[in-house]
Amino acid sequence: MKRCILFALALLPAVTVTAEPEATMSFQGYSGLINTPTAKLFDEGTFYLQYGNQVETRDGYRNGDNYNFGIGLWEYVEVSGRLAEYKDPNGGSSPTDLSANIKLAMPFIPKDWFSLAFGIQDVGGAANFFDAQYVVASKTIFDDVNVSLGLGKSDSNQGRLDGVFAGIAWQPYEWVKLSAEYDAADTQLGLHISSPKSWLSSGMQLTTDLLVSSSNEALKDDFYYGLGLTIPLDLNATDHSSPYHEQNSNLVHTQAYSSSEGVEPDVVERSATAERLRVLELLAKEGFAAIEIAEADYNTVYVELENHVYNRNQIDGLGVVLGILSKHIQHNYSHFKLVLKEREIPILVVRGSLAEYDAFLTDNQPLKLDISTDTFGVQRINTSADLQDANSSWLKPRFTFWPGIVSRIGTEFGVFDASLALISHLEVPLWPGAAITAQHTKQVAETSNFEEGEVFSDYKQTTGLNEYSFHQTFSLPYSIKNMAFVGRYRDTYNYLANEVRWQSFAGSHKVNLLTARYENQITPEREHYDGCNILFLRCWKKAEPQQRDVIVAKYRYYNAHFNASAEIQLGQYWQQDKGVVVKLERMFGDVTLNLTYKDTKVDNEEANQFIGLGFSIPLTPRKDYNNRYFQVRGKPKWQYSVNTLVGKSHNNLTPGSGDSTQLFYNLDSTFYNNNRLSSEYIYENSPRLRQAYYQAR
Amino acid sequence: MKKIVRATLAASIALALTACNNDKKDAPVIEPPAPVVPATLDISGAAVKGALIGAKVQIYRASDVALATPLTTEPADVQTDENGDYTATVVDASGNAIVGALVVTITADGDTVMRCDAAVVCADGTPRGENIPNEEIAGISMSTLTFAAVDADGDSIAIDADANTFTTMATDAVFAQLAINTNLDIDNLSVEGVVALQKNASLIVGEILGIDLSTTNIYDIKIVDSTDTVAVAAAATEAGDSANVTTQLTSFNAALAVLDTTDSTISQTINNYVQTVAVVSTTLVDALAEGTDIAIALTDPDAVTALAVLAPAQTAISDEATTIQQTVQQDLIDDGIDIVIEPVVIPATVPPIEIDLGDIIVPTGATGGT
Repeated sequence: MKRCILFALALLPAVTVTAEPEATMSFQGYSGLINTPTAKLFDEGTFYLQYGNQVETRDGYRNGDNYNFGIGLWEYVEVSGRLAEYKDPNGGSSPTDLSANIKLAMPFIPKDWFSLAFGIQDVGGAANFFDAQYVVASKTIFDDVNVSLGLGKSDSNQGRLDGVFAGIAWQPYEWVKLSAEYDAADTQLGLHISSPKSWLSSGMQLTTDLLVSSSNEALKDDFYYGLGLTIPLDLNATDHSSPYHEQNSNLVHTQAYSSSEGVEPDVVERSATAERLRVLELLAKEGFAAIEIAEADYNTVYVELENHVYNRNQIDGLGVVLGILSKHIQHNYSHFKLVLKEREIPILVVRGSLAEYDAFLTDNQPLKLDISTDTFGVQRINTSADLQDANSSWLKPRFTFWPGIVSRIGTEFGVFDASLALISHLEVPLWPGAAITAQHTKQVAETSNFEEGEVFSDYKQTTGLNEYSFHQTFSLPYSIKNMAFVGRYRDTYNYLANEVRWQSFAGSHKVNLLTARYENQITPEREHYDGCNILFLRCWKKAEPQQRDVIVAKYRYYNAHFNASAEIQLGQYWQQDKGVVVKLERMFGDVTLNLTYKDTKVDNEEANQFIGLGFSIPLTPRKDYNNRYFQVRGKPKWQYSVNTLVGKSHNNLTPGSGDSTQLFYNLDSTFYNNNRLSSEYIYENSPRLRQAYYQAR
Repeated sequence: MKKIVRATLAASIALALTACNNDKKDAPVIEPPAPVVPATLDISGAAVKGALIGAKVQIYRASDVALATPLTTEPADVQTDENGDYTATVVDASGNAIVGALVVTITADGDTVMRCDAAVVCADGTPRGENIPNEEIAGISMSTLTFAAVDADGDSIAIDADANTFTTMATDAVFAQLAINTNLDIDNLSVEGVVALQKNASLIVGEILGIDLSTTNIYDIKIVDSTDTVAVAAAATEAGDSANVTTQLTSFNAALAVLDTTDSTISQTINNYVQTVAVVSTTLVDALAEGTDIAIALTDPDAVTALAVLAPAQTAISDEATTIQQTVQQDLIDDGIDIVIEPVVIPATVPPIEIDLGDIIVPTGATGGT
């Protein structure tokens, strides 16, 4: 096999076409060559996934299962992780290891000079047997050759990265790269092959990595390879959920929008009422609800509505509404005032010039809108000539479905164990600001370790109606909203809660305060852990408190330039642990990646610190299914995160710390578009307004 | 179609109204509640030091650690018979099935005698096989822990619960576990939970007495009166893989009859011995429950004193148990029973106590969730 590969490589020089070497994933998880890093980081906003069979143990390299993942957070920051299963060659139990890596590149160095990066392998965690720190410089020469030189300090028993290391990569084609490296102990030769970006949709690529040869005796004995997938995270640019997107997208080029939508001749449009009526019809046809259109003053048209069709991101709904306004009100008004509502509570007011917005749509002019979430009193319009639509949202049930996962990763019992359930959420709007909600869990499947009597059985998801609540939301001055809610939580707890939220004018700053009291309606029996002697005091789980008070304050800062947010939470959480949770979230369109740090402590117990890595993806189309009587949709921001204990001699599983008890129906998600309803966010994502109008419908 | 619907509705309403017009003659007859049938549980067993004859038997909930409120039995006063056996029926007038852990105590009262089961002669001079007079054994007390359950029909399953000095010492160790770990709600523990406590107690008592009981539940071992050769033969046959342990425990149980009774009676001596073992077992249970070092725990003055008392007794028991095994074997031969009792030595000096009740396995790794 290796001879065939070497023969193929020998032919490459005869048919070369230059291409600058791209960042690819090494067998260690970080971007690099075979086992060494380079100063070239993963592409920003691209997710890398790789399965490889080369694992490194304290005793040397051997064949095992290696699951690597990595992402370019920003141009100068990459994070990666590895879940390794060290198959015992003697057939014994297979220990696993979960580790994280981080690599930072040095900015401000001209790209034609060289690149410089430093990184840490196996950050944090308990048993850091492969901890390594390194600095590496890379430079591209002859357009398609990249050379690297680095210095590292490592705990690797193989001596990898423990000293000076070097590598060279030659990428004659976009789809093939040949690498050679000296990793401070051994010399390797490798081959990387990737599918052309045009082959798969959304710019995804399949990759293959092969270890062609190595001076390490253990690596000579087997065939080592990696199979990977790279996924650009911002898929909106190519995600055309609407069956009409092709027709609509042509409009931007042909300027034939009016005729294509069947707008009546000018003689009809010259009537202000007819113009408003026409817009009303178009908005209703799009599925917007609770629409009211009126005349704010003699040159300003006033529109208010609720968007329950573009649920993945409200900015899509906003783009569609603004597009329709600017394209269909052209004779009687020069300006518009748009009020987006939720449960008849105004959540966003947008003012602007119709002509300027039309120029933004058609001529790529800058966006000029006055956007505010300080919506108190904005509905007081001074006209009686309003039009109302029949798309009422009252008592219209909305069903939301998503998968619920509880999992254990990299334990003594397996690489990955999970309990999977289908979560169904019902939301019925009542009077202004009021809604009732209910959440049901249907257990679907689980791995053997979550089955009854097994080690993780206490945490399996069970079928039943878990939650039901009544919510009443009020809008207050200065962009403050308040939601009071009462109901049943987590099967047996009756609760009373209140959340108040403030957001700064542009949306960079946000503060939430959640206060809640939960009272268990049953007295739970004391339970003991499986597999230990019941005489041991430590074998028994803590008694669940009959009453739980949760008080959590959150501050969030959103930076549009970095398309990222940082949030800090302080308070007392579900397990009555007190402390801080810090979350850094990077947005890539509707996909986010987050890093968390938790430090919480229950009274009279040790403090626990955790680091976590998570992501969120939309599990619903840009435009949801909707009819007159009900709506079915997925979760706009489905989150999954992995947390592990740090700062101790062990990383015992310690689930549930820092749990803020946030419901699916809350101020952030329901009234603030999952914290994406602000002028800062909208301006940062203004191209999406245009794209939504032309492509998402 | 509408006419059919209307006609159906009208008929339904008419029928409903007719149903409402109940005459007093049709008033439902309220049947008197069925009389409550008391629940019963049959329990039987034997009191074996030597056979304890005419001793008082009482049964308690295991949660009644002070043994203050005996359960109602039929007959009310249960006594062991001439072989040391007893039969009783526990009665619950409420009719609720009797389930859960129970403790049986057997106490020598004013008319109780005990068969001497020493190799040759008991501490008071009574020859082997003869009854020790009441004044020597009055007050001797033995207990055992058992579990009551019901079958698929909800009927109580009869229980066989023997009491001997080992079940007595083990039951003390179970009580010690309940005392130190208040999470152990014995009334609501499953049978598996109760057995786990029994096994813990067996292991601990075995370590104190120098007998390996790491894989044995004392409560499952059939200990018989060593003077009853037929019973000894049957027990040896049924013991199977536990034959050696059965031999050890039977001979140990019998050997207690020769402990020095200077200034005391046999009952006081045996009761004191059992209570001294309980001091050590409680120390061990507490240390194990709290996860502290048992070697350090045994340096507690009470434990040191107790171990000092037990050490000379161990030597005497070791010698006597060996002789008893030889005597029993000779009795079997004399009676023409073709069974060989493998001699098993009980150490004259108890090895250092080491107890491993397993680890608490806390998985490591990462948690994930949505």
